[in-house]
Amino acid sequence: MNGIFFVLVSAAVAAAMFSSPSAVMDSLVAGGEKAVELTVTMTAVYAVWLGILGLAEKSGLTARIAHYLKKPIRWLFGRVSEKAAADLTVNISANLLGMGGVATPMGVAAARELDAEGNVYAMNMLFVIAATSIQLLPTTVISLLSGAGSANPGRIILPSLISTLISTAIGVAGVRIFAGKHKVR
Amino acid sequence: MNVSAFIIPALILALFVFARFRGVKTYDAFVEGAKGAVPLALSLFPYLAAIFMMSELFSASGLNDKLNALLAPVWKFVGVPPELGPLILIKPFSGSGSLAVLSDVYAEYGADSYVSRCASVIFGSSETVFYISAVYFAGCKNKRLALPVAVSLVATLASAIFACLICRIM
Repeated sequence: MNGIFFVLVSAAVAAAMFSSPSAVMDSLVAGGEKAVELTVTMTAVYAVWLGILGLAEKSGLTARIAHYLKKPIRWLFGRVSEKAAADLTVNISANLLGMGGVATPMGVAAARELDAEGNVYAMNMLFVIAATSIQLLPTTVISLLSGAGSANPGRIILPSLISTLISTAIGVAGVRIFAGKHKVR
Repeated sequence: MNVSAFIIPALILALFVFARFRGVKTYDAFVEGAKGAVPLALSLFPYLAAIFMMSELFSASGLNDKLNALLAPVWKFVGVPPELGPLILIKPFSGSGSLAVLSDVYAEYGADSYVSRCASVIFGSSETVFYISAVYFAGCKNKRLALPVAVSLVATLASAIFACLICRIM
Protein backbone atom coordinates (compact mmCIF):
# COMPACT_ATOMS: atom_id res chain seq x y z
CA MET A 1 0.00 0.00 0.00
CA ASN A 2 2.88 2.34 0.79
CA GLY A 3 4.27 1.82 -2.71
CA ILE A 4 0.94 2.40 -4.45
CA PHE A 5 0.21 5.46 -2.34
CA PHE A 6 3.61 6.98 -3.05
CA VAL A 7 3.49 6.35 -6.81
CA LEU A 8 -0.07 7.55 -7.33
CA VAL A 9 0.16 10.63 -5.12
CA SER A 10 3.52 11.83 -6.41
CA ALA A 11 2.58 11.17 -10.06
CA ALA A 12 -0.71 13.00 -9.64
CA VAL A 13 0.86 15.98 -7.86
CA ALA A 14 3.61 16.20 -10.48
CA ALA A 15 1.07 16.08 -13.34
CA ALA A 16 -1.23 18.61 -11.68
CA MET A 17 1.66 21.04 -11.16
CA PHE A 18 1.76 21.57 -14.91
CA SER A 19 -1.94 21.45 -15.71
CA SER A 20 -3.59 23.14 -12.70
CA PRO A 21 -1.45 23.70 -9.58
CA SER A 22 -4.35 25.08 -7.56
CA ALA A 23 -6.25 21.80 -7.98
CA VAL A 24 -3.80 19.99 -5.70
CA MET A 25 -4.88 21.54 -2.41
CA ASP A 26 -8.51 21.66 -3.53
CA SER A 27 -8.69 17.98 -4.29
CA LEU A 28 -6.83 17.01 -1.11
CA VAL A 29 -9.33 18.93 0.99
CA ALA A 30 -12.23 17.59 -1.10
CA GLY A 31 -10.98 14.06 -0.39
CA GLY A 32 -10.79 14.82 3.32
CA GLU A 33 -14.30 16.23 3.29
CA LYS A 34 -15.60 13.11 1.58
CA ALA A 35 -13.93 11.00 4.27
CA VAL A 36 -15.55 13.11 7.02
CA GLU A 37 -18.95 12.80 5.36
CA LEU A 38 -18.64 9.05 4.94
CA THR A 39 -17.38 8.63 8.51
CA VAL A 40 -20.42 10.46 9.87
CA THR A 41 -22.84 8.45 7.71
CA MET A 42 -21.11 5.20 8.52
CA THR A 43 -21.19 5.91 12.26
CA ALA A 44 -24.98 5.96 11.99
CA VAL A 45 -25.08 2.86 9.78
CA TYR A 46 -22.69 0.97 12.07
CA ALA A 47 -24.75 1.94 15.13
CA VAL A 48 -27.84 0.42 13.50
CA TRP A 49 -26.18 -2.79 12.38
CA LEU A 50 -23.88 -3.31 15.34
CA GLY A 51 -26.93 -2.89 17.57
CA ILE A 52 -28.86 -5.48 15.58
CA LEU A 53 -25.83 -7.76 15.52
CA GLY A 54 -25.63 -7.36 19.30
CA LEU A 55 -29.05 -9.02 19.42
CA ALA A 56 -27.98 -11.73 16.99
CA GLU A 57 -24.95 -12.46 19.12
CA LYS A 58 -26.71 -12.47 22.51
CA SER A 59 -29.48 -14.71 21.22
CA GLY A 60 -26.90 -17.23 20.01
CA LEU A 61 -27.90 -16.81 16.37
CA THR A 62 -24.45 -15.95 14.98
CA ALA A 63 -22.89 -18.90 16.80
CA ARG A 64 -25.54 -21.18 15.33
CA ILE A 65 -25.00 -19.92 11.75
CA ALA A 66 -21.23 -20.20 12.25
CA HIS A 67 -21.73 -23.78 13.38
CA TYR A 68 -23.62 -24.67 10.19
CA LEU A 69 -20.99 -23.00 8.02
CA LYS A 70 -18.05 -24.53 9.86
CA LYS A 71 -16.92 -26.70 6.96
CA PRO A 72 -16.86 -24.07 4.17
CA ILE A 73 -15.18 -21.59 6.55
CA ARG A 74 -12.54 -24.20 7.42
CA TRP A 75 -12.00 -24.97 3.72
CA LEU A 76 -11.54 -21.31 2.82
CA PHE A 77 -9.67 -19.95 5.80
CA GLY A 78 -8.00 -22.91 7.45
CA ARG A 79 -7.97 -23.13 11.24
CA VAL A 80 -9.35 -19.96 12.85
CA SER A 81 -10.63 -19.22 16.36
CA GLU A 82 -14.34 -19.55 17.10
CA LYS A 83 -14.71 -15.79 17.51
CA ALA A 84 -13.08 -15.11 14.13
CA ALA A 85 -15.16 -17.82 12.47
CA ALA A 86 -18.38 -16.21 13.72
CA ASP A 87 -17.32 -12.77 12.44
CA LEU A 88 -16.22 -14.24 9.10
CA THR A 89 -19.57 -15.97 8.71
CA VAL A 90 -21.54 -12.78 9.31
CA ASN A 91 -19.21 -10.81 7.01
CA ILE A 92 -19.57 -13.23 4.11
CA SER A 93 -23.33 -13.67 4.51
CA ALA A 94 -23.78 -9.90 4.58
CA ASN A 95 -21.60 -9.46 1.50
CA LEU A 96 -23.64 -12.09 -0.34
CA LEU A 97 -26.82 -10.18 0.45
CA GLY A 98 -25.25 -6.86 -0.53
CA MET A 99 -25.53 -5.37 2.97
CA GLY A 100 -22.25 -3.45 3.16
CA GLY A 101 -23.26 -1.79 6.41
CA VAL A 102 -23.12 -5.12 8.27
CA ALA A 103 -20.28 -6.61 6.26
CA THR A 104 -17.78 -3.87 7.05
CA PRO A 105 -17.86 -3.85 10.88
CA MET A 106 -17.76 -7.65 10.99
CA GLY A 107 -15.00 -7.73 8.38
CA VAL A 108 -12.95 -5.29 10.44
CA ALA A 109 -13.61 -7.30 13.60
CA ALA A 110 -12.58 -10.53 11.85
CA ALA A 111 -9.45 -8.90 10.39
CA ARG A 112 -8.37 -7.62 13.83
CA GLU A 113 -9.05 -10.99 15.43
CA LEU A 114 -7.02 -12.79 12.74
CA ASP A 115 -4.30 -10.15 12.98
CA ALA A 116 -3.97 -10.78 16.72
CA GLU A 117 -3.73 -14.51 15.96
CA GLY A 118 -1.04 -13.74 13.38
CA ASN A 119 -3.07 -15.57 10.71
CA VAL A 120 -1.96 -13.71 7.57
CA TYR A 121 -3.37 -16.34 5.21
CA ALA A 122 -6.90 -16.03 6.55
CA MET A 123 -6.63 -12.22 6.49
CA ASN A 124 -5.65 -12.31 2.83
CA MET A 125 -8.52 -14.67 2.06
CA LEU A 126 -11.01 -12.46 3.90
CA PHE A 127 -9.85 -9.39 2.00
CA VAL A 128 -9.87 -11.03 -1.43
CA ILE A 129 -13.36 -12.46 -0.92
CA ALA A 130 -14.68 -9.05 0.12
CA ALA A 131 -12.79 -7.16 -2.60
CA THR A 132 -13.90 -9.38 -5.47
CA SER A 133 -17.58 -8.83 -4.64
CA ILE A 134 -19.75 -11.85 -3.96
CA GLN A 135 -23.08 -10.04 -4.12
CA LEU A 136 -25.92 -12.29 -5.29
CA LEU A 137 -28.22 -9.48 -6.46
CA PRO A 138 -26.68 -6.26 -7.81
CA THR A 139 -29.51 -4.14 -6.40
CA THR A 140 -27.85 -0.75 -6.98
CA VAL A 141 -27.29 -1.43 -10.67
CA ILE A 142 -30.78 -2.81 -11.19
CA SER A 143 -32.43 0.25 -9.70
CA LEU A 144 -30.11 2.53 -11.69
CA LEU A 145 -30.95 0.66 -14.89
CA SER A 146 -34.68 0.95 -14.39
CA GLY A 147 -34.17 4.62 -13.57
CA ALA A 148 -32.32 5.06 -16.87
CA GLY A 149 -35.30 3.59 -18.74
CA SER A 150 -34.14 0.03 -19.32
CA ALA A 151 -36.83 -2.29 -20.67
CA ASN A 152 -35.42 -5.31 -18.85
CA PRO A 153 -33.07 -4.46 -15.96
CA GLY A 154 -33.15 -8.07 -14.75
CA ARG A 155 -31.22 -9.11 -17.84
CA ILE A 156 -27.93 -8.32 -16.12
CA ILE A 157 -28.55 -10.45 -13.01
CA LEU A 158 -27.24 -13.75 -14.38
CA PRO A 159 -24.21 -12.26 -16.20
CA SER A 160 -23.34 -10.34 -13.01
CA LEU A 161 -23.57 -13.47 -10.92
CA ILE A 162 -21.35 -15.42 -13.31
CA SER A 163 -18.87 -12.56 -13.49
CA THR A 164 -18.65 -12.15 -9.73
CA LEU A 165 -18.24 -15.91 -9.27
CA ILE A 166 -15.37 -15.84 -11.75
CA SER A 167 -13.61 -12.98 -9.95
CA THR A 168 -14.04 -14.57 -6.52
CA ALA A 169 -12.84 -17.94 -7.81
CA ILE A 170 -9.75 -16.34 -9.34
CA GLY A 171 -9.15 -14.42 -6.10
CA VAL A 172 -9.49 -17.50 -3.87
CA ALA A 173 -7.27 -19.52 -6.22
CA GLY A 174 -4.70 -16.70 -6.25
CA VAL A 175 -4.45 -16.60 -2.46
CA ARG A 176 -4.21 -20.40 -2.33
CA ILE A 177 -1.43 -20.46 -4.90
CA PHE A 178 0.64 -17.53 -3.67
CA ALA A 179 0.05 -17.71 0.09
CA GLY A 180 -1.09 -21.32 0.54
CA LYS A 181 2.04 -22.28 2.44
CA HIS A 182 1.02 -19.93 5.29
CA LYS A 183 -2.33 -21.63 5.76
CA VAL A 184 -2.92 -22.76 9.35
CA ARG A 185 -4.32 -26.27 9.13
CA MET B 1 -37.46 -5.73 -7.21
CA ASN B 2 -40.10 -4.78 -4.68
CA VAL B 3 -39.82 -8.02 -2.78
CA SER B 4 -36.24 -7.29 -1.74
CA ALA B 5 -37.41 -4.15 0.06
CA PHE B 6 -39.30 -6.37 2.49
CA ILE B 7 -36.44 -8.75 3.19
CA ILE B 8 -34.41 -6.57 5.55
CA PRO B 9 -37.33 -5.32 7.68
CA ALA B 10 -38.62 -8.89 7.88
CA LEU B 11 -35.21 -10.14 9.00
CA ILE B 12 -34.94 -7.42 11.64
CA LEU B 13 -38.40 -8.19 12.99
CA ALA B 14 -37.68 -11.92 13.04
CA LEU B 15 -34.43 -11.31 14.90
CA PHE B 16 -36.10 -9.14 17.55
CA VAL B 17 -38.80 -11.73 18.14
CA PHE B 18 -36.26 -14.55 18.19
CA ALA B 19 -34.00 -12.70 20.65
CA ARG B 20 -36.94 -11.92 22.94
CA PHE B 21 -38.01 -15.54 22.76
CA ARG B 22 -34.52 -16.60 23.82
CA GLY B 23 -34.71 -14.33 26.86
CA VAL B 24 -32.35 -11.62 25.59
CA LYS B 25 -32.74 -8.12 27.05
CA THR B 26 -33.17 -6.51 23.62
CA TYR B 27 -32.51 -2.91 24.64
CA ASP B 28 -29.36 -3.72 26.60
CA ALA B 29 -28.03 -6.00 23.87
CA PHE B 30 -28.71 -3.41 21.16
CA VAL B 31 -26.94 -0.64 23.09
CA GLU B 32 -24.05 -2.94 23.90
CA GLY B 33 -23.57 -3.63 20.20
CA ALA B 34 -24.12 -0.06 18.99
CA LYS B 35 -21.46 1.13 21.45
CA GLY B 36 -18.81 -0.06 19.01
CA ALA B 37 -19.95 2.22 16.17
CA VAL B 38 -18.14 5.43 17.09
CA PRO B 39 -14.71 3.93 17.88
CA LEU B 40 -14.93 1.82 14.72
CA ALA B 41 -15.80 4.77 12.47
CA LEU B 42 -13.12 6.93 14.12
CA SER B 43 -10.45 4.28 13.70
CA LEU B 44 -11.27 3.99 9.99
CA PHE B 45 -11.27 7.74 9.34
CA PRO B 46 -7.54 8.40 8.70
CA TYR B 47 -7.36 5.49 6.25
CA LEU B 48 -10.43 6.68 4.39
CA ALA B 49 -9.07 10.21 4.29
CA ALA B 50 -5.80 9.04 2.72
CA ILE B 51 -7.56 6.90 0.10
CA PHE B 52 -10.09 9.58 -0.82
CA MET B 53 -7.39 12.24 -1.11
CA MET B 54 -5.45 9.91 -3.40
CA SER B 55 -8.53 9.30 -5.60
CA GLU B 56 -9.48 12.98 -5.80
CA LEU B 57 -5.92 13.98 -6.61
CA PHE B 58 -5.69 11.30 -9.25
CA SER B 59 -8.80 12.38 -11.14
CA ALA B 60 -8.00 16.12 -10.78
CA SER B 61 -4.46 15.69 -12.10
CA GLY B 62 -5.63 14.72 -15.58
CA LEU B 63 -3.58 11.52 -15.32
CA ASN B 64 -6.86 9.65 -15.45
CA ASP B 65 -7.67 10.89 -18.96
CA LYS B 66 -4.13 10.32 -20.20
CA LEU B 67 -4.15 6.77 -18.87
CA ASN B 68 -7.52 6.12 -20.51
CA ALA B 69 -6.25 7.30 -23.89
CA LEU B 70 -3.17 5.15 -23.45
CA LEU B 71 -5.16 2.05 -22.49
CA ALA B 72 -7.82 2.26 -25.23
CA PRO B 73 -5.97 -0.09 -27.64
CA VAL B 74 -5.36 -2.54 -24.78
CA TRP B 75 -9.09 -2.72 -24.01
CA LYS B 76 -9.86 -3.28 -27.67
CA PHE B 77 -7.32 -6.09 -27.78
CA VAL B 78 -8.89 -8.00 -24.86
CA GLY B 79 -12.42 -7.50 -26.23
CA VAL B 80 -13.60 -4.78 -23.87
CA PRO B 81 -15.33 -1.75 -25.44
CA PRO B 82 -12.80 1.10 -24.95
CA GLU B 83 -15.67 3.30 -23.71
CA LEU B 84 -15.60 1.21 -20.53
CA GLY B 85 -11.93 1.86 -19.80
CA PRO B 86 -12.67 4.79 -17.46
CA LEU B 87 -15.16 2.69 -15.49
CA ILE B 88 -12.74 -0.20 -15.04
CA LEU B 89 -9.99 2.20 -14.04
CA ILE B 90 -11.95 4.19 -11.46
CA LYS B 91 -13.97 1.38 -9.86
CA PRO B 92 -11.17 0.14 -7.52
CA PHE B 93 -10.68 3.68 -6.18
CA SER B 94 -14.04 5.30 -5.83
CA GLY B 95 -17.62 4.11 -5.47
CA SER B 96 -19.16 7.51 -6.11
CA GLY B 97 -16.77 8.22 -9.00
CA SER B 98 -17.60 4.95 -10.73
CA LEU B 99 -21.31 5.55 -10.15
CA ALA B 100 -21.01 8.87 -12.00
CA VAL B 101 -19.16 7.16 -14.88
CA LEU B 102 -21.84 4.45 -15.03
CA SER B 103 -24.65 7.03 -15.26
CA ASP B 104 -22.74 8.79 -18.06
CA VAL B 105 -22.50 5.52 -19.97
CA TYR B 106 -26.27 4.95 -19.61
CA ALA B 107 -27.02 8.50 -20.76
CA GLU B 108 -24.70 8.31 -23.74
CA TYR B 109 -25.39 4.81 -25.08
CA GLY B 110 -28.89 4.04 -23.79
CA ALA B 111 -29.65 1.71 -20.89
CA ASP B 112 -30.27 -1.37 -23.07
CA SER B 113 -27.21 -1.11 -25.32
CA TYR B 114 -24.42 -3.67 -25.27
CA VAL B 115 -21.99 -1.14 -23.77
CA SER B 116 -24.40 -0.29 -20.95
CA ARG B 117 -25.04 -3.93 -20.18
CA CYS B 118 -21.30 -4.60 -19.96
CA ALA B 119 -20.92 -1.52 -17.77
CA SER B 120 -23.71 -2.72 -15.47
CA VAL B 121 -22.20 -6.16 -15.07
CA ILE B 122 -18.70 -4.77 -14.48
CA PHE B 123 -20.03 -2.33 -11.91
CA GLY B 124 -22.23 -4.90 -10.18
CA SER B 125 -19.60 -7.60 -9.96
CA SER B 126 -16.63 -5.59 -8.72
CA GLU B 127 -15.73 -3.71 -5.57
CA THR B 128 -13.79 -0.61 -4.56
CA VAL B 129 -10.64 -2.61 -3.83
CA PHE B 130 -8.55 0.21 -2.36
CA TYR B 131 -11.36 1.37 -0.11
CA ILE B 132 -11.81 -2.16 1.22
CA SER B 133 -8.06 -2.54 1.74
CA ALA B 134 -8.04 0.71 3.75
CA VAL B 135 -10.99 -0.33 5.87
CA TYR B 136 -10.35 -4.03 6.48
CA PHE B 137 -6.70 -3.62 7.35
CA ALA B 138 -7.07 -0.40 9.37
CA GLY B 139 -5.14 -0.71 12.61
CA CYS B 140 -3.74 -4.18 11.89
CA LYS B 141 -0.10 -5.09 12.49
CA ASN B 142 0.04 -7.03 9.22
CA LYS B 143 0.78 -4.42 6.57
CA ARG B 144 1.70 -6.75 3.73
CA LEU B 145 -1.14 -5.84 1.43
CA ALA B 146 0.65 -6.15 -1.90
CA LEU B 147 -0.34 -9.77 -2.51
CA PRO B 148 -4.06 -9.60 -1.64
CA VAL B 149 -4.51 -6.24 -3.40
CA ALA B 150 -2.74 -7.50 -6.53
CA VAL B 151 -4.76 -10.74 -6.55
CA SER B 152 -8.02 -8.80 -6.17
CA LEU B 153 -7.16 -6.36 -8.95
CA VAL B 154 -6.19 -9.14 -11.35
CA ALA B 155 -9.38 -11.07 -10.49
CA THR B 156 -11.47 -7.92 -11.02
CA LEU B 157 -9.85 -7.22 -14.37
CA ALA B 158 -10.27 -10.81 -15.55
CA SER B 159 -13.93 -10.80 -14.59
CA ALA B 160 -14.44 -7.49 -16.46
CA ILE B 161 -13.10 -9.13 -19.62
CA PHE B 162 -15.34 -12.15 -19.03
CA ALA B 163 -18.30 -9.84 -18.38
CA CYS B 164 -17.99 -8.32 -21.86
CA LEU B 165 -17.82 -11.81 -23.33
CA ILE B 166 -20.86 -13.03 -21.38
CA CYS B 167 -22.89 -9.95 -22.35
CA ARG B 168 -22.30 -10.77 -26.00
CA ILE B 169 -24.17 -14.07 -25.71
CA MET B 170 -26.66 -13.28 -22.92
